[in-house]
Amino acid sequence: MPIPSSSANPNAAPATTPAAMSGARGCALIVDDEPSNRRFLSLMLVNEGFRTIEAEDGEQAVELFAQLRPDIVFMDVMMSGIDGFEATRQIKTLAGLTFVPVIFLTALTEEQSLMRCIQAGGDDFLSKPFSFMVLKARILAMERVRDLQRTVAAKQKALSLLLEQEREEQELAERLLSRAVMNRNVAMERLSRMQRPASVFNGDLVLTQHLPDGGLRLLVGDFTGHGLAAAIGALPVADAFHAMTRKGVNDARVLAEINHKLYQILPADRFLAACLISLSGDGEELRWWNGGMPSMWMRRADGLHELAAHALPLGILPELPACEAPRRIRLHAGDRLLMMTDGLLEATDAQGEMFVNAGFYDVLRHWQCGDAVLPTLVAALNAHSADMEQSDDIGVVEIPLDTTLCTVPILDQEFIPRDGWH
Amino acid sequence: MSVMRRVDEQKSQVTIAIDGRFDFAQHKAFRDAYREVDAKKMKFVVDLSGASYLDSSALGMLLLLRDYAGGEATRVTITGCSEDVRRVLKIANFEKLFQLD
Repeated sequence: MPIPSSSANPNAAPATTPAAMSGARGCALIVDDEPSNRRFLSLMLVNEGFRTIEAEDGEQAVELFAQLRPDIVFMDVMMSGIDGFEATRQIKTLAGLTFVPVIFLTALTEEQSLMRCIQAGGDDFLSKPFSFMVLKARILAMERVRDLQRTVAAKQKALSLLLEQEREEQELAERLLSRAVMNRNVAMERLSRMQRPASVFNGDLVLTQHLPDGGLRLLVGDFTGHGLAAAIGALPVADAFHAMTRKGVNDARVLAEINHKLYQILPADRFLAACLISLSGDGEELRWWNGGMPSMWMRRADGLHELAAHALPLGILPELPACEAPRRIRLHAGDRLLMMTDGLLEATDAQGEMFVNAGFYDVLRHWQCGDAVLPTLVAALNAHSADMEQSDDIGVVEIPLDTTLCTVPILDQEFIPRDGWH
Repeated sequence: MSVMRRVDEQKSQVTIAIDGRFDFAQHKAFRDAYREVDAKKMKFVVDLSGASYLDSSALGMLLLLRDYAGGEATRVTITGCSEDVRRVLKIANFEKLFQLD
């Protein structure tokens, strides 16, 4: 095989700097069956700042690569045993996702052969005899590609680490919510629910607890933001809700307490939209409060009633305004209540149309007194948003407003059962 | 999607106009639009005539601006709400916190 052209004899002007001597540019593997070629290239690369290792055939090249993981490979094509193409294939497999440039130094000139170099996994080729200036330039170009790849790989690694952390936080949030928040709930089997989270913990909250008069209090909420931040907000809400409800503290004071706690702990842009309802122990009265949630809908014998948001969400103002007090309704047999988060109304179809503008009100209009509406609602939603990826969490709760939700009042000689209103 | 700021020195008014979806993706741009403004001298107007959609993080951003503008003391005005945008603001009862035009 021809030796490199002498246009730039490495011995003529050895640019030997301390950096060059130390092999600062990394380790170069030279694969050639001709010892003089190897020596020549090695001298030149050492001058350029590489450490070099040499292999005299394909097998040895693969072996050395596996052992010493060089940073760049210079590959001859024609060798006994496995040739340069095959050695390159094996080296590229060993390198995996790490980019190690392989530059073919070949006497072949046909375009077909050059194409084979690239197809085998080679990154560049130089036809012998080559000038050192050209070789130096190609090495620089390859190093640039390699450094770019390393930067991208490092960023990729950092990103997947962050994603992994995010996923762990989501799971922690879910765990907090299911173990510390939701597990104190009561009568959940009497509620019909649909819950479709877009992420592991969605910020949607359902709390239920009995009042001392046997009645039931229910809070359906929707935190701005997802994940751990929302779950952390949910903890004090659940604590206040359960403890105060069991003591029979009235709706307004429970709401004031939750609002106060959230105002203290949440940043200004986070809040809890929520509906709070309380059913009296005798099943004859419903009290309701809607702070920033979509309207609740109540189906009764005399028609459909809208319980629209009359209050701000919780956690925005330091004190709840007096005009936003809970309201009360007398109940009749067969009354049912439907509550939802905005994810339901905003679920889009393929044309971007929201469910609230397409089909939602039809479902409400056909809701018969005493019937469950949730199955029809779910069917209509599925038909509307078929094949669409869900972008927000959807939570829907339907409640039969009767004494099956209630429990036996607490009877205690020193304790008069309180209904959480007075 | 864009957040544009117009400053009217004569009226002492800063208008922040949102185009397209107003959601978490606008968070930084929205904050950058008011953070250098002297809230003691200027009034804020949020122009939503180009906004197609508002999510709850957009409501949060409006609350941050309200805070920056001085909370209770000065009202931030929101103009140009489409029907969908108005529905979201109405459900949240934000007319109690902002001047809705």
